Amino acid sequence: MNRQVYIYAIIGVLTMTVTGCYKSLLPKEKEHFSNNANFDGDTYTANFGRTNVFYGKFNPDYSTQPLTFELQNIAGPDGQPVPALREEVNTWQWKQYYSGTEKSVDEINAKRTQVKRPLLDIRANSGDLVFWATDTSRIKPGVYTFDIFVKNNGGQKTFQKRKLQLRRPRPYEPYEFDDITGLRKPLDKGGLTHPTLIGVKDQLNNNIPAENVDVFFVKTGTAKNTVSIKFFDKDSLPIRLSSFNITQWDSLVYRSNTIEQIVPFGFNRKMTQDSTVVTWDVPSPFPVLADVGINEKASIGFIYERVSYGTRTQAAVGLQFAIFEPGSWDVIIRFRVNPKFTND
Amino acid sequence: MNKRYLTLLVSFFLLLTGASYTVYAQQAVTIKGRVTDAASKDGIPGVTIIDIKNNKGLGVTDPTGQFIIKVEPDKTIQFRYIGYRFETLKIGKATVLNVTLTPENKSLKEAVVVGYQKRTKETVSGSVAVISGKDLQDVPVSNIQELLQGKVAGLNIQNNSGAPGFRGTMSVRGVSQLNVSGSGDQAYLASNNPLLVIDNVPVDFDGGISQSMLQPGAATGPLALIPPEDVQSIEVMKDAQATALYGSRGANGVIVVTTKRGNSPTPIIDVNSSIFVNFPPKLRPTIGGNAERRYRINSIFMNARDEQDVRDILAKPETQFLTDSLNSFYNNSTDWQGLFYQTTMNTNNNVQISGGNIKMNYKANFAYQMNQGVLKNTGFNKYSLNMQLNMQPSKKLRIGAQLFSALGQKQRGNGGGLTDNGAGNSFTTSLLPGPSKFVGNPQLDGYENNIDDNNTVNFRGFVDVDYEIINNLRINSTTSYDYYTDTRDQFKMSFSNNNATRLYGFVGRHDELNTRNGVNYSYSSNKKDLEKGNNIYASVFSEINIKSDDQHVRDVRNGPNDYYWGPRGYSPRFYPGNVWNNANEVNVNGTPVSYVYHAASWAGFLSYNFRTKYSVDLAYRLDGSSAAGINNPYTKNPSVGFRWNFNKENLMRRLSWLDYGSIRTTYGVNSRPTATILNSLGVYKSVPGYNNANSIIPEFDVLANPSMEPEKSSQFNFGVDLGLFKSRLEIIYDTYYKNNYNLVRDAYLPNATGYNKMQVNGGAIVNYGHELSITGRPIVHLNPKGFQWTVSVNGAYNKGILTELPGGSQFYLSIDDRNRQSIALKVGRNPQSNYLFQTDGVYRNTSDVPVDPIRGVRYKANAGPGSQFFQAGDPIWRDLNGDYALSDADYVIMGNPEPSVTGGFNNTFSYQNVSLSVFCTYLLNRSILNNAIAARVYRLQAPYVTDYTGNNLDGPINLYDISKLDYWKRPGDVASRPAIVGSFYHDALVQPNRLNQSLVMEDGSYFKINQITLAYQFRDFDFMKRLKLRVLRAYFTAYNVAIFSNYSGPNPETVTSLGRDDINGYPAASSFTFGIGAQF
Repeated sequence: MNRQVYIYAIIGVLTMTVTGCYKSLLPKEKEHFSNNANFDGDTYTANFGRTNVFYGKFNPDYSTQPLTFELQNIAGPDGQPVPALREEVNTWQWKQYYSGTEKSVDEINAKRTQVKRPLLDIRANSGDLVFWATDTSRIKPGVYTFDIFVKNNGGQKTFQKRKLQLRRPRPYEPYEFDDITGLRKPLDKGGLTHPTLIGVKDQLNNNIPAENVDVFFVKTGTAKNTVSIKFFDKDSLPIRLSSFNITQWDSLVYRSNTIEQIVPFGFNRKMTQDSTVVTWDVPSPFPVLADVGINEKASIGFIYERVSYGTRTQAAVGLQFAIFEPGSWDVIIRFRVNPKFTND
Repeated sequence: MNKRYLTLLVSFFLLLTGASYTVYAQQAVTIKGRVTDAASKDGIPGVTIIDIKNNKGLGVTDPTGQFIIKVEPDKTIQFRYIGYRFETLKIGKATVLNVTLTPENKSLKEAVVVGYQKRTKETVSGSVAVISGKDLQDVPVSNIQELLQGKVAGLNIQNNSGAPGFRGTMSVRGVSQLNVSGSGDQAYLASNNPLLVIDNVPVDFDGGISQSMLQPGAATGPLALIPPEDVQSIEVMKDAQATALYGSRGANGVIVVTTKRGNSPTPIIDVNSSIFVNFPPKLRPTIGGNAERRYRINSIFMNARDEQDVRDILAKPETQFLTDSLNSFYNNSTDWQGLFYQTTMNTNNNVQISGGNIKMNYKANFAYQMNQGVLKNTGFNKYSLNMQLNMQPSKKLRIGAQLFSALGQKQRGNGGGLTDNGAGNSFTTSLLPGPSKFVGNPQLDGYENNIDDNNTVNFRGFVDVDYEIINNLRINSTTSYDYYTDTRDQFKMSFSNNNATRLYGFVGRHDELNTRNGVNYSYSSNKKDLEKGNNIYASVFSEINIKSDDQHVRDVRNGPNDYYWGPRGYSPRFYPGNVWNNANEVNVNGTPVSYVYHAASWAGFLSYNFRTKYSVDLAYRLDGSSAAGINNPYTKNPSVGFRWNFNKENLMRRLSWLDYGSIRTTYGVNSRPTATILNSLGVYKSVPGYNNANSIIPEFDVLANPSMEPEKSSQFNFGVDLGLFKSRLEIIYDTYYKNNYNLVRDAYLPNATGYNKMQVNGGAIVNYGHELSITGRPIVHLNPKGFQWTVSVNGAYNKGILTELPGGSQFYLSIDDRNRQSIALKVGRNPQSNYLFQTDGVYRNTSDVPVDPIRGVRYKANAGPGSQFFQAGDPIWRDLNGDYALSDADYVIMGNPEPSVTGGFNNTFSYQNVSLSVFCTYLLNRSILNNAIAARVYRLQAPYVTDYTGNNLDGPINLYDISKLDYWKRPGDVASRPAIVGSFYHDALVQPNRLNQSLVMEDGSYFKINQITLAYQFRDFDFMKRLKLRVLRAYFTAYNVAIFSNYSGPNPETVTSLGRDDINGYPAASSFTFGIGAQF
């Protein structure tokens, strides 16, 4: 009798064990690492003197998130390790978002804070690469290589020999010099910058082509971040800004392409007594999202009106630009043919 | 057509009633006696004494077991008491009768039909659940499948459409398929239908729905055509042993329906008649009239970009009237939603004539049901006649024959039936006047006037001959033929169909010839008492199955007017591609389905038991079919099972509280052929102009896979049956581990092969789970008229795990382009999961939105350029990869459209002549995508849309009662839903109320009261004697009484098999029935 009881007990226990271990027969859910996870291109072109960001280059192809990204084997053009690229530098990062409604440069700057980050930086989970703003004193331009090691619990992959092309700084845009050779670009490829002209006539009432007006960016100091705009005629005599008679100086705005909003063109506008120079306080870079935004440039238009043979016509000189190097910059617009501001 | 059919039915009916018997009365005598328990010799009170011939009660025993009855001396009487064997006696001359009753385990002595073999349950090792036909009465439903819900642990039935004549989904022990058809709200899982066997004839579950699940053909399945009154029992076979002999079609389980047989020396006429009322469910709350106008105008003012934008919006022709509040034409509050629904009065009638004895018995069952749906112009009428004749001219020969014929007529209104019913859309604004002589609404008009008649005619007959050649060796032959004609006649008036009429005709014929011939042998070393001998049962049989299916469609558009419904035949004017009639190439003329299918099978079965204590079952079946891959023409189904009735051990016999107890273990493999001619042999087509000649080239879409193997499922089952305390408590427990492997998936090929894809075996799903059924009789009164209470609870826990994908892949995403609610298949998870953004709340203020520290901008809804920045009132979507942009990388695999627990809960009370039954079902833990509420919010976001423009803007035009929603209204609000409208411009960019987020995913657990029946049994009334009524019963049933759920949508059950709640689904109606059952 006792033996039978044991047998039942054993059968009972066996059953429980068998049914209890269903789970152990089954594969556990593993993280998925897709074989097709890949970067879009293997070359990153960066300029000194500005923050270079490379977004959305990585396609995880449905790999299980989060993935972790790590930079490895950073080597210089000569193949030697370059620890300097991993050294931490001071970077400006945003605490609050740039709304475009800020009233002063200080208000914008208050939204940013200085953070130490490695010079060549990668976002840990998205694979977005950043080459922070630095000067050429630590690193020389050239082609550097590095590997990106991507990993989750389901798999890992090293993307080897990514190329980081470091080029000379371009302190402003449009920049007339080639950022590899440092030489002036050919004239037909942007060796000289021209503004946009709409309806600007010369003394004979002919349209002045844009090629006859040049734009020069000149850095005049480092005390403050400002932008000054000056116009000169063909004799290098200043043109009074009052000539642009219907320019609404108090409400000059441009559209920020990144936040898709109208934002003021600089702050704290000052005009000289003789009305030849106009100066704004600006953040650096200018526009403030110029380096991290999407095709972000400031634009300004100088508009005037005149009566030509009984017809009132409007004309404008427009310019789109960005300034990356901090300091006081003069933007000089020089006419090679004198424009006509007076009525006929 | 219908009239002719009816005449036919009636004449059959008359033919059968022609036979009758005459009964001569004799002088009654008084008989006394005592009924005692065979073991304890105690008197048994409350034993019912029955006159067998008339099936009439003669009396009951008193508390000491004594009885006095008056009966004619030649009568045969029977003593019945729960938990005891029936004792049958012929009275003869005796005036004193002392009867002893022996206790028995009735539930084990039940005969069940497993693998076409009738066996007592106590020797069956497989997992078989039996539902008595009695549990399926008292509620006239259009499909008997609805009534099986919650009755069997492990049989998951979801009545996900209330459309009469359609049926919901059914699966035994979880899903075993991975394929998904359709998209958006109408995404359905490939069917997991079990095999249906009706009176030993395997039949097609869906009655040949070869068109997709979404737009089922005209076909009405066999379960909708069988009247519940005719059902004797339904058996559900769940494990591999029980299903093995049914072959490859039984891989998803088998459901065996047995209809009633005649068994009464005098003919019995059963009449069951009821009237029932279908009520539409509570309609969705809407706002109308002035409230609607105010909402629309306010919203336009608040959310337009500027004043000019407001002017532009309100100047559009479809919105201009909003500003014209003084115009009485535009000053209505029409309840468009309500116009689509109706309350209907219906009837259900059933007459059954049966009689005979074991030598010859007959039955004829005639049923008629009229069931009008709650949506206008939908409904289902059915007529059926089931005739059965069984003869046993000698002890050696048995002959049975049956003819079942039925006509099902479905009206589908203006919708598809299951989906796309349209009423959810309520196509226009409440400000417009309701339908009248001069003003109409195309969609509503479609519901009222369009024709969509679907008729199914089904004939099914079988002949079953069984002959004993020598002792114990019988040969058996069963041949059945099942024939369906399905037609669909649809005509859409031009007003309701974009000013072009549409005539759609469908004819489908499919038939199935099945013949099964075999030999079986039974041997027992002790014939008198099987419990003392060695018993062997063996059988071999072969089965031939020939199916054919032909479907033809004629689709004619843009006819001359609403009264010319033609031409139905071929006309060059209406050929496909004729630009005048088919400019957009939408016509579907042709023959979508035409095939003949042959299958041949061989099966062997051996069962041995020792003293009915230890049983072993071995079964093997080989199936070959004409559609199999040429390298693997046969599928093999081996199985083995053991059963140990441990209560028959000497040790256990002493335990008085144990009535019976057994342990079952089975293992087997079922195969399901999935190879079709197309995927195993490839498709070739003729093309003109290759080398300047007509040529035959392969179709480059699917590469032939001649090594295609059948999908297989191996299943281990362990079960325990226990009966305790004199049948007061019965427990059935089963646990199983079912591995469905070799599932066919598409493998996409490198384009260098020239082919697009190939179908390969490679997917695998494991389902494991536990099933428990407990039946308790907490209150058993000794007097059967006393208070009795039976309660039964069953529940099944099932967990499905995807264990393999082809090529060792871990992940597959089937992308849904319509709603972006894609379905993820990931190894190690449940077979299907949702792939959505995780919503973690709502931004209270814009300053709460995370800022990208590098870019200085807010988290945005798009990785590319653009200003899709989140703002206050937007949902907080989890940014998994931390790039401050919502992208494909941020999707989360979540949810499970399959419930983890399903079950039922039934109570029956009876006292004196009154009985009350309550049937409930429950479901736990299922993810539902509440797209219905999303569709309504969608329309709240677009107050300027006031007319129904088709599919590009989903959602109803009438406005949801916004006060029912907890949405973000102003900065600082804590809300569960995002702002309805941020601004029109912002919403277009960010889509805060999009469907592909976890906000729309809800838990669909529910508890449903399916049925409450209150019945009164008339007994001993004078009028009954005068009318020669043997039994008279009146009942009142409430069906679909209530559903309790936390789900915010209307009904967590009327969702697709993938858990998507479609606003245009057919709602489940409630019904009240009053009926009378009489037996003459």
